[in-house]
Amino acid sequence: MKAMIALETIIHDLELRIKTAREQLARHESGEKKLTLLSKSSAENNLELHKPLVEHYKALLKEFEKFEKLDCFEHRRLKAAIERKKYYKFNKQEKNKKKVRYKENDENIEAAMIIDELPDETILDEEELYRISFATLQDYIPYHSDAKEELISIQNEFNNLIKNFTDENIRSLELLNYMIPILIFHLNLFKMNLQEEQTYQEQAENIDVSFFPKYHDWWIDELWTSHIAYFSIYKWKKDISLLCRTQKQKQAWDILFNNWIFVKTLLSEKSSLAFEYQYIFDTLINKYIDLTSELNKDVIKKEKEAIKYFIKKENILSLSSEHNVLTPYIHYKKDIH
Amino acid sequence: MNVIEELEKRIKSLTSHIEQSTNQIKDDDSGEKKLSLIVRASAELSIEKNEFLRRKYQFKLKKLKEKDIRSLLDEEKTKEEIRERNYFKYQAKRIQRDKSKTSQEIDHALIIIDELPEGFKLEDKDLFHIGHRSHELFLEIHSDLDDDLIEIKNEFLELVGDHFNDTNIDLKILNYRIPLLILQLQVLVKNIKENIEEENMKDFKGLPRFHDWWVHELWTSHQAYMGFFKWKQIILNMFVTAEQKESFEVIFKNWILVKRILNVKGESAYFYNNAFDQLIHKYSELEDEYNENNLSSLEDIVSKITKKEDFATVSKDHNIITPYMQFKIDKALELENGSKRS
Repeated sequence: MKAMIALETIIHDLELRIKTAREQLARHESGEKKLTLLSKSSAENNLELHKPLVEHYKALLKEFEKFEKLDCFEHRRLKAAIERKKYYKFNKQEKNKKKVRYKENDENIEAAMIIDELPDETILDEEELYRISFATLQDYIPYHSDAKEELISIQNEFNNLIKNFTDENIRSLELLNYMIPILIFHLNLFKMNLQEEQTYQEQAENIDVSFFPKYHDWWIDELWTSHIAYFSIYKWKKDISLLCRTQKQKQAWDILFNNWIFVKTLLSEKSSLAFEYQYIFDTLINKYIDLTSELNKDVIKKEKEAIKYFIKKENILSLSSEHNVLTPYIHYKKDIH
Repeated sequence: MNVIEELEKRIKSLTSHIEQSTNQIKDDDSGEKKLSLIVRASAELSIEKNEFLRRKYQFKLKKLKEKDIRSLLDEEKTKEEIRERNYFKYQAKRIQRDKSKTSQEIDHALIIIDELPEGFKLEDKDLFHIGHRSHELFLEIHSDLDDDLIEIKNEFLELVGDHFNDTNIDLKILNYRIPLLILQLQVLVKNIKENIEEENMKDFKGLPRFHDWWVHELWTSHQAYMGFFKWKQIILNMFVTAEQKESFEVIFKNWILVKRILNVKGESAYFYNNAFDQLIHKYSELEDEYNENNLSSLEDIVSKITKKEDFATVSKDHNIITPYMQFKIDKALELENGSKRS
């Protein structure tokens, strides 16, 4: 029942006010922090006013509980929504964007954007996770015999690092909690495969494939708003593609790139509340595959200028050699309709 | 004069008689004023009689008073019950007519009345307070959206069916992301329609169609990027508020990420991709163009637009130091200082 949730938050707010007033008065009595006459009487007034009110609302809540339990499904999901609302609002403030125009139906979209993966929902069981880890790249990259141990070790390492988060919003990153260890495991497989290929075939060319070029954080944030961001990511992706010696490695990189940017985008949307989480992800990626972002502002500025030359030279109108407006998927859709 | 008053008057008079006789006897005893034997006997008899009568009247009075209070209370109780019954019977009507509240406050209180269990009573002021808080928290909207999400999820899982095998089981990871995206876009499209209706604009004919080859060639043909970029701008122009535009930016990014993952997955994800497209079309009127002529003519348009575009640009909010990058720089400094100290 929605009224119960509203009542709970009303009680919670009143209790907070009572607590604050009590603390203020206690500090005043002990001499730790003296209140002015006006503040003192306001604190006393607060107590006098809110104590009976809180009792009244608690009694009402008890009455409600005779009809509906506090841990029922509706109650749980609405409470989860309120939690997310807090962080959604927080992120809005962080971005400091002024609302130029506000319409009442904005409330609906705000509520829809707040919904995230339900925290208490299990997406996949362990067996499925294991199958996923081995299904994604099996056609492109050979798995080592000790790959399973490695996956478990990465999962444990990641879980250990994130277990300290008590924030509901971080804990609720269910999808990412699944995706990240698998992605790190895959990227590691990919890197090892590149190194092995080099060992056998390309040593003579003396290409260092032990690291990936650094990326810039702003590319992720501005991918769909600044053209330079798109071209920078395009070039970065292509540069790594050039390290691939086989078509299968290129295909594997395509998959991994998509997954990596998926994770990075989801995390960057969650803004400062997920900074620590994103940092763990980046640290592990760096540890396993030497992939990291550029933190030197001068280098970033210089490369931003350099990419403008790249764009100038690039044939913007060129299409890929396999270009076709009718993609294989479109053919599939036509066939089944 | 009612019975009680009459009795009280009699008791008073009897008491006075008793006192009088008692005083006569006292005076006789003390020798102050001697009484004759007959008069003394009469005084004693008078006290006895009058006391008997007084006790009788007092008892009667007590009984009468008790009865009177009970009936009074009963009467009051009935009145209170009627008042209370009417208070809750006409609560909704009264709230609707409350001039001191805005129409919104009244609506929010009425929503709370509607969901109260039968027989549950809340006073007007509590209803308004709870209704207001409930609205502040978007509880009504959340509840409805959650219901919609469950339905979309069920429908999606049904459409996807059980086509998973070892090569495409990883798609399951998106099972919950996709219904969410569909729901969010559905709400946004509803917003567009409402805006159009309010501002008497032309009818909404669905979102402009996207081209599957833009997804397919996103990182290989620049024009694919350009197609999406312009397509996104056209849709953004359909929204009127900053909130709507910001939300669409987020939905767009997420949608394209999912579409890319499905595209790269190729044939083994066709069934899944198709279920996604089908539902997003049903709920959000978003679909791709698969008429070859339209595809080709639009390809020419995109090519013309691409020619004109200045690609060495960045957005007006551009900043190379993102908040997260600053966080990493601070963290690196922290680590450096920490290792210096130790």
